[in-house]
Amino acid sequence: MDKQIKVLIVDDFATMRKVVRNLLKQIGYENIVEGEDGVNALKILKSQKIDLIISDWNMPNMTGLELLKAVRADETLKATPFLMVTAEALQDNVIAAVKAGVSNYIVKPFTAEVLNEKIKKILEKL
Amino acid sequence: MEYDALIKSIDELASDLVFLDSREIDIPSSGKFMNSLEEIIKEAGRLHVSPLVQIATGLNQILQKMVFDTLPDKGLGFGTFESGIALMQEISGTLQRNGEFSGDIQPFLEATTKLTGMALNMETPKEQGAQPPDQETQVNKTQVQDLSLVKDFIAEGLEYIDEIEVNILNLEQNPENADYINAIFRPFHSIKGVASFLNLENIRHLAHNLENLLDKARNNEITVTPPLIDLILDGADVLKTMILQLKDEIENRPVKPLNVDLSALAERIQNAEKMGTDDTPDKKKLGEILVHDGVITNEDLDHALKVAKTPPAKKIGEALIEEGKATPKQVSQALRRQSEKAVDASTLRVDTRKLDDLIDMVGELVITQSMIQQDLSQQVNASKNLMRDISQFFRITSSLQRTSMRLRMIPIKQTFQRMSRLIRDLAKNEGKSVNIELIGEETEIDRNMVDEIYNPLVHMVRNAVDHGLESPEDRIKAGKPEKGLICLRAYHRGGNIVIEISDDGRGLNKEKIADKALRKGVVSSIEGLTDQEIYMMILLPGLSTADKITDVSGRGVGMDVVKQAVEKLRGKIEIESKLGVGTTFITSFPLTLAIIDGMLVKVGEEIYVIPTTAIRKTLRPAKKDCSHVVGKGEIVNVMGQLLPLVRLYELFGIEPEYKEPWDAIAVVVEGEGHAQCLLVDRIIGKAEVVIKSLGSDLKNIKGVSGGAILGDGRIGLILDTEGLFALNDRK
Repeated sequence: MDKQIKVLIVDDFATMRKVVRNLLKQIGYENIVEGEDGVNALKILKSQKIDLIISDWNMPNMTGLELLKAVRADETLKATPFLMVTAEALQDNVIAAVKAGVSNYIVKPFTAEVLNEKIKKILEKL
Repeated sequence: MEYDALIKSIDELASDLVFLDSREIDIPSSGKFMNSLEEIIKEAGRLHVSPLVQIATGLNQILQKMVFDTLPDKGLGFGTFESGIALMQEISGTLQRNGEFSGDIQPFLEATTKLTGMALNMETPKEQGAQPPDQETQVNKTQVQDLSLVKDFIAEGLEYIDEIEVNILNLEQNPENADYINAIFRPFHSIKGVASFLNLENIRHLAHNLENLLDKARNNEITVTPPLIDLILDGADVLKTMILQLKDEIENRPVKPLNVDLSALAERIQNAEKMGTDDTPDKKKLGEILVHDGVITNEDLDHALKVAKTPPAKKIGEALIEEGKATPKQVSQALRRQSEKAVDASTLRVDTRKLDDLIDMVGELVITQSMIQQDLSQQVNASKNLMRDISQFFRITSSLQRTSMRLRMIPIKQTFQRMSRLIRDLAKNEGKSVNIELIGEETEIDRNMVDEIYNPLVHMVRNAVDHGLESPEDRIKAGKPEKGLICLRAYHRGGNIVIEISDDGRGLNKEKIADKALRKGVVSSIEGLTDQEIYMMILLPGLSTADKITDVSGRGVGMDVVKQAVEKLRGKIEIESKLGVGTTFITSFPLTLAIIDGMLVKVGEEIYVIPTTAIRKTLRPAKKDCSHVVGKGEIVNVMGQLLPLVRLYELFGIEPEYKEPWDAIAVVVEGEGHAQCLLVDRIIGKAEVVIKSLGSDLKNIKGVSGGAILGDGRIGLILDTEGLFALNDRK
């Protein structure tokens, strides 16, 4: 498995970004960039090649779902794997994300193992 | 043919299924299938092909179960899904051939029901259903041990709670604004999310409860009422305390016990959730604004409300305009105020140290620039091109300096919001009710100033609520609205930020103040004193002891302290007041503490900077005006006032150009109610200088508050007038 892929973490809460970053490091992903909301994430996506987006659902300016939709609607970005982070199992949210083309979803709080599993699942399809 | 689109959708779905890599439907494919199925349900519903609707709905449910990974038997799930698609194809085939459907869908529906445990044609439950099995409650322990994460969480969490407070006060003003609810919801949500990773169960639980409460408010299941706002504020306070406890804990300080009954709070939250919606939401905001502005009376409003309700229904604003009670302009202004929203500029968070470094460096650049400028002016044959390029360089440097200064500027908003919270709490404690009006929240001020001005402002605000505003009974007696008004207003004037704090309370009683001042011997006569000057007396130390001044004017508790604090920041206070109508404190502060407007003076070979704000006048005293007074030292008669003379060259031990006052120049400086003359050789001019600290070794030097690098690269010490007074007194 390619651990060199570049992962973009999108969350407005800096501590949360760090949590995810640490978990990613535990499972061997070191190449990480951070975005603080959907708008910022889109800018990053436009400026460099991102191999996996891990985005929170609830963010100011642009929600995770809106970001997902924007990514899927963009010709150059639409194939980018997208892992949505949600709180609890808000089923409606998950279904909305699935319909919008999310690659997978993960429920807070999660462990490094679960994250690893989800990422593996996403990447092996590529 | 009318079924064409439907048949095409079904065929596509079937071919997508065939092309799946494995006998498992992953999430992206589920999404695709769901969208197609929804398309089919819609189309089939339109054409009244109910069997297709039923099958597609069943398939959708299977997919949902797959997404949530709650199917007991995945293989069976896939098999059922496949059979459902095949059944749909069969139906569509018969439809295509003879426009009718024959076939038994019952076995499929039964299999689906068995699989999903859901009766068909039923809505998917909207509740937060069973949690997916892969969610582990046990959080990775290595997470928790990461102290730096906890520290980050504390810092950011506290910031978020500040944000909550700001927005909740906004919400109180606009209870129906979903944006504000969202803005409060989100931080709670984020705090909860991180707390769950860090195993902070108490914090997570409370944040979760508050979040749920707000979710209900957001979905209009409960109404935003003052008690609800109180509850959320209380909740935010407890959350803050818990985070601070955590901070104490990791910094190995004694942890203050949490004096809050968490279960009582939880109960309050639960009760609030059950409260439901209020059927008569407060809709007459526009009218209230107009009444408050004095445009219309309460009777006008009542009448207009009636008119607006009788058919043909109109908006209240229209009714008022038709009745001639308000002009369209007034209404539109009120409407605008009603919907006024803070400008949310996109921002970037930067470490203040980096910012300070940058500003420091720009300061150095400006100094180097002026050095070049001076060198150049001495050059006789400087080339024209060089001159032009350099003047261009100067322009860029000075705009760079302005911009970098602005980097450190932040809107006064947060300070205002913190104060409005304070006003609210204070008023509540005193049984007064008060409206708070904030104007000019976007006005910017240096980040470093914000904390400095907070305390004096708080003191003035406290006074306004405490003593300025009357009790509700007194207000009614005086014919005023029961609710008092406190208005905080900020704007820029010159290089200053002006902050006004006004109340519509009882106002200052100038006779009583003057009387007190006379008795105390602060002044010998009040003749010729303007009202302004009399009001200013409450800022004097002798006149502002709490018990005495309070019965005089209801004002002035510790106002001398405020004055000192304001002056320390090189600010000024003015007071405007009208008995029975209200009082306004107008404070103005420099926008930044980093730059000072100074007068450059020369003593011997040394150059000193005197802050312009401290200078009253400069003069060359006549020989007859200089004398010695026993026990007081040298004094100078300045227009009838005897002021002590300070010979700077003596104080700093330098050889001056002129020793005698009548040869040199005296600069009259004042501060904290007294003045003195500083003797200098010459005045060089006025300059804006960037204040540099002298470093920790020299920080206790009296009479000098800092240094500045001057245009020629030399260092000029900035004189601290207060310190000079102290030095001279000791002598």
